[in-house]
Amino acid sequence: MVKICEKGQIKIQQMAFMLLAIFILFVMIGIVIVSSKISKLEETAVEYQEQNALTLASKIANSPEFSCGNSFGNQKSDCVDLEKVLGLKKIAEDYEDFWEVSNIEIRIIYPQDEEEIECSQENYPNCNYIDLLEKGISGFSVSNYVSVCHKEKNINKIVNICELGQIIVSYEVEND
Amino acid sequence: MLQFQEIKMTFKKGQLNISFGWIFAIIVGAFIIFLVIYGITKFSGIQQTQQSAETSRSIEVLLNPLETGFETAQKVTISTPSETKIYLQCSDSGKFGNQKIMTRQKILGKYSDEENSVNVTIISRYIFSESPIEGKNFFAFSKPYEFPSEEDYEFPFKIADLIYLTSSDENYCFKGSIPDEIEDEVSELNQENLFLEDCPSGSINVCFGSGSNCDVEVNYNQGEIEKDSGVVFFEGDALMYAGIFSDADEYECQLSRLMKRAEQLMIIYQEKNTLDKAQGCSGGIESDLIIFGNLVRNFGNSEDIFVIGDYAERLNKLNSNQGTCRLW
Repeated sequence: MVKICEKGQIKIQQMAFMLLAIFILFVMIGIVIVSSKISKLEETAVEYQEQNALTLASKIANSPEFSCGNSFGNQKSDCVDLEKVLGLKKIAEDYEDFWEVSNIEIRIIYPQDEEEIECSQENYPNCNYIDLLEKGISGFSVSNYVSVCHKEKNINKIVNICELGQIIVSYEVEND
Repeated sequence: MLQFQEIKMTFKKGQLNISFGWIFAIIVGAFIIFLVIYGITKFSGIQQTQQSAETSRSIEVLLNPLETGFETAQKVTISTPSETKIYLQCSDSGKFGNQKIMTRQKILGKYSDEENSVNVTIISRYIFSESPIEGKNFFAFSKPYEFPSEEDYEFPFKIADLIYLTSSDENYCFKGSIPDEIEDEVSELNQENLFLEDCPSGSINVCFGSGSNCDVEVNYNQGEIEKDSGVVFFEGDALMYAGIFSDADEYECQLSRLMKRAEQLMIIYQEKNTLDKAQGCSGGIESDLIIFGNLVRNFGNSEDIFVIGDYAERLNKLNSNQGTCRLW
């Protein structure tokens, strides 16, 4: 009687281990599939963000908040109005999530100044860059060459001055 | 009596035959099968969510080229892997309002559950469409929304690009006394689901002036559009297309969002005006910029667009007179 019981117990134990092993196997397969799916999803998210970024700098430069419009003669493509950007900086908080970017920087690259001076209402137009959202360049960034235009008084006459510049847009890749 | 005893004995024997091992295996096996089925269901839900998120995001990305130029009307075609329903939901709360895109895709003849769909929120875009629109291919074209809206103005200021999204399964038939510029634009656009003549049966009839069997009635001179979802008002062609291709509620909400953007732009122009003044420009447009800013801030519904449009004309004339000191 005792022997039968022992045999039965061993069989139950064998079955329990077997079932446990099957269960663990299923769980492990599940984990592998889910983690591969998650990594694929992350890849796709990065891909979309990169695709988006390709046109982002141009899109932002041509948006009404940045573009020169007809203010400096004929309508120009990829032309940034420095005065508008200075105005925009004042309400930059409102625009924080608008373009889904972490920062936008406008730099005048030619003619090149030795010193880097950030533009403000006080020193305008004697400056060479604007950090719009003041978060610095982080994550990934894309840039585009643009004309950076402003108005300046030159012997009792207002003249339009356009310089070669760069718009640098940085964005962070969401991993959550 | 003897027979009954025999049956009772068999039952007892049968009960004894199911060992504890079997009961244990059945319970644990059932539990594992349940877990596997549960996992598969959850996993297919995740797959649907992923597909929905991917489609919504890809629609957002594919619409990018519509916003990078000055061309009056540009178009793109969007193809989805399977039959898709696109839902657009506008909200005008906050500084700029927003628009949510949600997609549901047909898998094995059934649209994925709403709970497995992902909303992609966009703040800087203005997509005008019926909601939902259904199909495998979608057409989108865009037009800049400018003040003043009439195209004969030399220096209008742009508010945003308006995007019009339609399904390739739905044809629009423009008929009646169509203004020449609309006729030219629609024919130049060459979008496969917009017809000026030989309209396929089942088309959505867009009538200019009066007509029969009209789904959308456009009173071009009065700036009024009447459709099942309600009556909306427009000024300029960009808003007219917006009224034709979207629900009345969606149109009003999007217009409210556009006015919010215009309000922010007025603040930027005021700052630009101050800087120009410091350089020697007269800056005489200042008070009008403030008044216009207040007008767009107090925007109620599309009926207000005429008052705003009239003031935009005044603002535009003042700006044009500024010569090199033009703000836009």
